[in-house]
Amino acid sequence: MYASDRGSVASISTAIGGTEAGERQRLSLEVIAQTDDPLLAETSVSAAIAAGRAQALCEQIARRIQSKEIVNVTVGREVIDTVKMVKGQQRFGKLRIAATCAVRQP
Amino acid sequence: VNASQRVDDWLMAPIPRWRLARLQAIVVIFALGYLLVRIQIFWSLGRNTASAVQRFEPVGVWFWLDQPLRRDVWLALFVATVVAGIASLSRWLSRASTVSFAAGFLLVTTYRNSWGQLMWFENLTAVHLAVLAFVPINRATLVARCKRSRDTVTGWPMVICALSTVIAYCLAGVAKLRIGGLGWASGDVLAHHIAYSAARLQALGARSSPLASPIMNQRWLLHAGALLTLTLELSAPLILIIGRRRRRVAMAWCAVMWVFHVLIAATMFVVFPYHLAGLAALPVWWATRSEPETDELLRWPK
Repeated sequence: MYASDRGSVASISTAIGGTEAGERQRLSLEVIAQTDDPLLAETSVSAAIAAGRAQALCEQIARRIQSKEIVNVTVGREVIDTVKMVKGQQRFGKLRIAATCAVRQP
Repeated sequence: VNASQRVDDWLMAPIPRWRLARLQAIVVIFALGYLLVRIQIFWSLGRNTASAVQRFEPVGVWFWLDQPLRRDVWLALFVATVVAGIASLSRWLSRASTVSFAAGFLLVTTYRNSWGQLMWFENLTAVHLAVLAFVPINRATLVARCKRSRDTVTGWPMVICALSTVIAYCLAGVAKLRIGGLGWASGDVLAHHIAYSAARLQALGARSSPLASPIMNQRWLLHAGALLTLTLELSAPLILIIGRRRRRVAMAWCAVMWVFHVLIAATMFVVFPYHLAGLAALPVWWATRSEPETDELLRWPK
């Protein structure tokens, strides 16, 4: 367990919200995958991307968003320098986009 | 006395019946609680949605499956396992119920692990349940079984459970050296795992451990942590030998291993419930105390 070296750069499958001003915002586990388990959330996003269902997932996530600030959602693989992020030197990594969609406000 | 005689004496040494009964009861209660607390997750495995089916990668005892189980078959297996667990805690205790629960727990947790997320800590619970399924049957209430008495039984199930714990830790240490080499002791690999756990949580919008960031700046602490981890894991089998002569060494090892899991949970938010509950180390503690019940022990609160 924990035997291999992950290195400091990781690719994490996730979804990110975007505001009208072009800023990025983190979405919650509940919004991303309706779970409180990060492993399950990442697995479900990763599986959707691998199966070509990223667009459908993106739209599902968009429907769950309550915040009026967020106007769009991007699903993809975020390449992160984990050490920098933990130290607070990086907020977002480089996102390899698999799908984008708009949030339809009620 | 030759080596085989020593091993034989070690395995067959009598231990108090109540101690074995308590270990069996505690492990069964934990396993049953684990299944019930996570019932939503286990239940949802029967949905077999298109996306779930695509993620299905059967492992372990389910390696031969080419598609997920039918919903009714899966739910029947889960319910039967829970019923067998309850039966093995009751007066209906029988070899069939203890063996069925051990087998059911292995099947249910392995099936859960066949969807791309391996929970290796469940394996030790499954091994302990399997060994404890062969504890001599005592058809009495749970409380009566666990009550202190002068009855003794051969202690091999306790020793085998303890051996499986120390071997599991030792294998984890060997894997670190085999895959990571001596460089694992530098602390860099540990730092990357802590950073990854925290960054993944942040990327998925969850809170990460507040301890992760300060630890990243303490190189000496990471180095010491890595060295200590390797030492504790690789030396685990020795505890069963040394601990029989020096009980305090065994108690100290069990306590340190528990703290080790507390630190993993605190820094990475990765929880090993069986280990955190102290159940992985409990047989090691009790196996190093294999002398028959004494009057002094019987005076202890009844």
